[in-house]
Amino acid sequence: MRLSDTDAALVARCKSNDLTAFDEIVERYQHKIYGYVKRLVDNETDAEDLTQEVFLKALHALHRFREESSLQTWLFRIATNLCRDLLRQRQREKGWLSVWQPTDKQGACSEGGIVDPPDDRFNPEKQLLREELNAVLNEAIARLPLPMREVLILHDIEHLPYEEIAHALEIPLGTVKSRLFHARARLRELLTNYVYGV
Amino acid sequence: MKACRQWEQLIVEYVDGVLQEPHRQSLEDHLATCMGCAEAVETQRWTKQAVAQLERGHAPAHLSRRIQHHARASWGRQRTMRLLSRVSVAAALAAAMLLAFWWSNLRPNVTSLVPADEPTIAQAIVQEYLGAMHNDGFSDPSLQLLARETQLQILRLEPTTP
Repeated sequence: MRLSDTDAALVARCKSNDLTAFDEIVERYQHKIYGYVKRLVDNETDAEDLTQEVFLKALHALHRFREESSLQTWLFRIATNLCRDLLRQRQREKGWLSVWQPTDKQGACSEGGIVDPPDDRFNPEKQLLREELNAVLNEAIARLPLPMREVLILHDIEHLPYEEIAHALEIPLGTVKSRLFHARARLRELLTNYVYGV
Repeated sequence: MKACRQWEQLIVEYVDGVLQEPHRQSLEDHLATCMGCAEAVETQRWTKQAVAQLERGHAPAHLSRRIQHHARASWGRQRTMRLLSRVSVAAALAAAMLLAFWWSNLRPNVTSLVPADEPTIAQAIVQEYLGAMHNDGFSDPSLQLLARETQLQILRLEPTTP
């Protein structure tokens, strides 16, 4: 196994039917994709299913991947489209809830708790504070409108540059920056409301 | 106070530390006089810093094995489907070639029958016509000549039989 292979080399190996290269791609990007998807759909089971779907879709479409964008960007684009599909489906099922408006928390997060189980082996107090902060932030991010949420997560959490986000979301560069500006401003409002109990 | 709309994108780049000169200087000059934009810069910095503290997502340990397992299963199915489609295309091509071969062998027999039959039938029709004309007492010499010429042309077309 060649762990130092670049993405381009992994893609080339995959295209020549080397599935071990695909395994490496999964190992390399599963956490990023899962983290992104989980924050968008706000449900662990859906996030696992969607992450699997992202990679399987990528595997079968890899022969069409022309490497005009990076592999990471391409995976994020697939993930974004699948998440949008799921959120639209949820919207249809619920009938009244628009994905383009701030959403209520669902599933495991509906009571304001964070999803990951606590790991307080080393410093319980510090860990608790950290988890509380994470919970509040995650709650606020989940309430952002979807277009803002996508850009905020990709830039401020996954640290993708503006250009890659523009490719992944298929929007103009200026729109990325504009959405990021408004996402941060809206998040600040939501957190202020939380702090002051508004 | 609200930030000026035209400065929003530059504020984002400024907070992210990627704004280049001369835009950087222009924005800083503007921030010195615009309270709304100065507040917006602080808001952007505060939120960016808060979000940066968030833990990155971590996929469950079993997920990669699950994906790899499904990948192999679907990859196998896809290869089988590809193989089947290639086999069916090859079979269709072979059938088409066989049909073409059969048709090219059969065709000379069919064509050889046509010239032999057609003049004979045509000749019978003309003869019948001439007979009918004679019986009816039709005696226009020019039409009779035309009919005879037609009959001769047909006889010339008719293949000679041993």
